[in-house]
Amino acid sequence: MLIEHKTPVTVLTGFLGSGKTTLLNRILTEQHGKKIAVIENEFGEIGVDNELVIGADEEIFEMNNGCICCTVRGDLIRILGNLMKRKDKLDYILIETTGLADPAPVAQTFFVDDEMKEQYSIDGIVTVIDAKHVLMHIEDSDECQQQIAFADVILLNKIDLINPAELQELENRIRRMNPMAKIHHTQNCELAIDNILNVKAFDLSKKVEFNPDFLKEELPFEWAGVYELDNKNYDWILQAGPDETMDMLIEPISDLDENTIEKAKKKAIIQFSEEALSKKNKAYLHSKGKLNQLVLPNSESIFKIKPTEAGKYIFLTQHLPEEFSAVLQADNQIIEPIWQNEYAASHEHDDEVTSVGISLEGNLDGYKLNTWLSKLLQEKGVDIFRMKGILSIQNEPRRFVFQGVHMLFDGKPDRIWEKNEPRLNQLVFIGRNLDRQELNKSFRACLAKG
Amino acid sequence: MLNLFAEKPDNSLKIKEIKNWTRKVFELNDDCHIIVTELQCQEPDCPDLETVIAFWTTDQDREQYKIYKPIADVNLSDIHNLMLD
Repeated sequence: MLIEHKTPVTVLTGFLGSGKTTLLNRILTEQHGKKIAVIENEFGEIGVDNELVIGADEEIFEMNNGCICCTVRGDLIRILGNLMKRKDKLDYILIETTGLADPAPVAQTFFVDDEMKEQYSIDGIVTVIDAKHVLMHIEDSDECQQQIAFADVILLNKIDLINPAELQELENRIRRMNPMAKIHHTQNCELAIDNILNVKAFDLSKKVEFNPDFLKEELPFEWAGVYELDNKNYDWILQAGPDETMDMLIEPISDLDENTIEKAKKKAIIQFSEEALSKKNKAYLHSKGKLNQLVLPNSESIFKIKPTEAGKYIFLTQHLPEEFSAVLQADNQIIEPIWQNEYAASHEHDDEVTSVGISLEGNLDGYKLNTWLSKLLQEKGVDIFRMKGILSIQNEPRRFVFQGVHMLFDGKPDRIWEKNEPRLNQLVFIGRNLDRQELNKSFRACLAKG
Repeated sequence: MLNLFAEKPDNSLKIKEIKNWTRKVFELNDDCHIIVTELQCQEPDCPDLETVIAFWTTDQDREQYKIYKPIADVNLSDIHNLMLD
């Protein structure tokens, strides 16, 4: 049987002075005896004899008129093409980029040509960060943000130069930008090399792991409350608040037990992705089967509710009612909910580069999903740096796993869903100016009906 | 629209053939590295898929060409036409 053997390639990125060359030297020392080619853009101080140190000139090759998604590195294509012709097989290739390099064209180079894909496998992108000085660049350097965003492994190096509280704050910030990367704290880049090499970050056969804290279910509503209502007129009164509109769903509910509430929540997630009917001051709100969009001017608004029959009704609101001092009133009496719960609000980040995690149970409509993802990659591919996910597609017994760099998409069916395993879709996008709410809403709209 | 979930066609033999044609038509030596790739163009009026061929005659000199059809449809006369353009 022919055993496929591709030469793994690790890309080392990081600002000048972060410790990249130290890491490179450490790898070469520890992996002594292996045939490792090092491709460098800036000749550093490699302290280990290595006859395979190759200088590269960072030739940016735009295959399609300036589109970043179609930009690769011409110098790497040439160098890797020459290395392919060597009679003795290399064990590993390390590419050290300049401090100001965009990792995307480097990563994309490995997907551009079939011969390249046959011979090499990109193993991972490792970014070394100077924990003391990174804050000077993180705000205003696109390259610094991209190097963090693209990384599979991040070394927070020189941690001896900052205190534990600063380190924690820095790690939290980096974690928000890139929740997929494995973060290591180091001094002088000291860590076991198996954390750096052969991590198989681009290998779809490897178990896809997500940080559960990051992938907490993000709901389209921040509050739910259950009211006992009669078949009569009620007023839902709101004052001016932080938003000009608010989506709101009202549905009958049979009980207050956990299962019934959970079922109503799941149904509401789908209903919130549907088109809402605009309702202005004094309008009647739908109290079954339709999403209302409350238009909220800079003054008090009163919306009418008249249930068709008496019973319990669950109200689900996009924002917290208290943000609008909302009350339900009938016959000049305020009606209090008999049950209510607040749900976690969306995360907020100050950084332009951020990540969006989606975790949603249910089967997806394959056609809708393909349409959504195609449109997303075409319109936002430039801003999406990396993405990864596990999907549950209707009538497909196997999980679908995927990953991508900008517009390059790679996906395949994975293992079979287990019998009682929840059909949980999990996706992570890392990119610039991502619209969290829109991504969540449009993904929810891909759920299959029924 | 892309079909992200469709099996990708195996173009490897065709790519080798296109590389051989390119080497012959442009009289490139064996050391000259050629790439052949298929891009989906986002520009209006462009076909969905186009083929990009690039090679380096020296480290500094890159030539690149586009054929406005998928890899599977490229033929020898397309490569000859590149020489004429």
